[in-house]
Amino acid sequence: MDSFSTWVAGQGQVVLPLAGVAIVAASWIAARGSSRRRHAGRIAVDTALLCLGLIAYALTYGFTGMSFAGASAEMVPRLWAGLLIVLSIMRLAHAWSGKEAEDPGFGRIDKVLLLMALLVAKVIGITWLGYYITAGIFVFACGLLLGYRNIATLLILAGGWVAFSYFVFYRLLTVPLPTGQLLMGLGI
Amino acid sequence: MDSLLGLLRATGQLLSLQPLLLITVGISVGILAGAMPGVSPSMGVALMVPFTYAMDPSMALVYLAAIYLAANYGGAITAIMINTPGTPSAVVTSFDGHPLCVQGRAREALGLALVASFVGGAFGTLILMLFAAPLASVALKFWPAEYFSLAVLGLSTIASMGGENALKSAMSAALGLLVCTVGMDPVLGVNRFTFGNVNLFDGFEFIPMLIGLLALSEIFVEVEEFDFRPQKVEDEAGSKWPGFLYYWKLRAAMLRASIIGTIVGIFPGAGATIAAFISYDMEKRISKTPERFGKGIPEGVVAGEAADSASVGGALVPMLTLGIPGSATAAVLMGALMIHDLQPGPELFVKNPDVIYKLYASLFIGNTVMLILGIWGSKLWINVTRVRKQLLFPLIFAFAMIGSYAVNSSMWDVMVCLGFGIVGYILKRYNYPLPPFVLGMVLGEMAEMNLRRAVMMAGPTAVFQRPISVTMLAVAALSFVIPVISARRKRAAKAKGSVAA
Repeated sequence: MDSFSTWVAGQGQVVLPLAGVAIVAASWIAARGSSRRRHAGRIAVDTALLCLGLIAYALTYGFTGMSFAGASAEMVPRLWAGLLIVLSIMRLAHAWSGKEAEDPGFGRIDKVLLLMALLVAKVIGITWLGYYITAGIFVFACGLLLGYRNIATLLILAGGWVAFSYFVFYRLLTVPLPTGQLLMGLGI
Repeated sequence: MDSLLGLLRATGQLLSLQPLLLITVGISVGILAGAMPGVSPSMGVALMVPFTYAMDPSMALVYLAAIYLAANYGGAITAIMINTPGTPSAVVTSFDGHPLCVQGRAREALGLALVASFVGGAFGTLILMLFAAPLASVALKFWPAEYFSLAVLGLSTIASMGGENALKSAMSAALGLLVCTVGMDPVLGVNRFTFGNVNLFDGFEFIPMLIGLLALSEIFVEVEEFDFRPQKVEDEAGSKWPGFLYYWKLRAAMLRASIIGTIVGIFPGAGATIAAFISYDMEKRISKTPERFGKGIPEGVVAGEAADSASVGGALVPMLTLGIPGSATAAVLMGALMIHDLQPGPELFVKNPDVIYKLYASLFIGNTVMLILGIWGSKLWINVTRVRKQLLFPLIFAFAMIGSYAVNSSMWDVMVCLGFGIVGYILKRYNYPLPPFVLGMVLGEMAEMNLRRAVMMAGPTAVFQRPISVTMLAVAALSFVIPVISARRKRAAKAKGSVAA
């Protein structure tokens, strides 16, 4: 058990999450190739939650072994992870038995993914270009992405947001909004 | 007597320019948030929390409570005018409110919703004032074992809310509880699930998590549906605001709905939506003309709206006295209190009674402000429903991001917000309810701390050694099992019925 604890505290922190991702992908592929094709999404989500519970439970063995009057640091995480594992197994059994409703159909998932990408780009952009430029571009691009085509209104909205965030958050609430490494490097 | 004096003193303090302005802004923001389809009361409150960082804790609570109070009424505006409830609980208002609007009686319907909200809100606050302090004094005698059982009880009621989705609700709550254990162990200082990341040593910051789960996930779902067609606002020309006598005739219906709303609101996890549905159902059952319900009957509007608003005061009872939120919005409010170093629970009544009295007073004042603003701003609120989601959503995203950043001036928190937004979207897409997740996050620390304290004091079976604790655990188990069994029975009966047909 000691060697397992050591492994979990070291390499296990990388291997276990990767194994979890692989298991979720495998479960989705398996479901897609079986009669449960229309439940593949639900099965993948339930498997992900099961893996999360199992990984969390396993990782508790890597916690520094301290205990005080019988109450250790791993006691409560194990309790919740164990609960998640049991419930996930019940859900998976339900999903594989076909008693579950079919997966919801995909709407404009392309837009959702693009929006997520835009948000990630905003996070990266803030670090380099600073908050104000990135936020303005984001509001404008987000409106376009959602199908709004009145450019003048979008420009006003973006400008208005930048002004609002400057006056309310920076001036009034004194939140130090990032100016961006690039602009700082240029001495702006 | 002390309570009355405290309340009078707090009322006096709030009746000055700055607090009144704050309440008015809160009520306006709440009505706008409730009226905008896609913005729920919990989302509205969560998005406004960053504005309170620089405020005095009691003023922050007053401001956020005003938003909570008004958002429930705001939801009724869209429900009545465009048959699109701005909040889940306003669905009930739309049953009879929109038919009234279609009949050209829009102002009558809006007036009914407003007055019913006012009466319900005032009643709920009165009950909060009467019962919160005695309940808190009982709760002060609890031991850690009882507190742990109380947290389990709170969790079980929300998990049982799902009915057929009970298992998913329970998983969602378990996920929230597990997320809560990330970071440094509160007793021994052991790092848990931090993967060596310094940002995780204090666990996930509550507000970014909350904004991601409640606001971002909701918008992702709406974007996937991609239906941004503007709603047609019904013509309200010719309709009038009703007079006092008109409302007076509906006093019994308002009172009934207020009582139901407050009682339902007190139960953790039940919330405004269930309160509104139960009240509507009850009103229909006792009505001499039940066939008129759903076609535009004033009692229908009043039943839903008064119960909806009364549930606010009810939901604050367990939050303030026991530290268990009665609704998703109360959970957000509780998180906001914790940010201001105020721990909701019985000790709040001992350590910060001024905060409690200010909250009571602000709810009464807020209700009155809502009544005035509701009448004065009816045209404006109706116009809010015309705001295009394509313009609204970029602003909510921008708000979510800056709000998350403002907590610690950290980009890590922005990433946490985004991450939880994606997790929330996936869970929501597959019908995992998110309020239990939030409740798990809120109650996680209370459950852990008290379980460990109990174990340290009396060993591993500590929670089964005290009668109150055992009773609460038994009630928790029952409140989880009964809805599951009843949902199964209903399913079985339905299946039998369809086979017979």
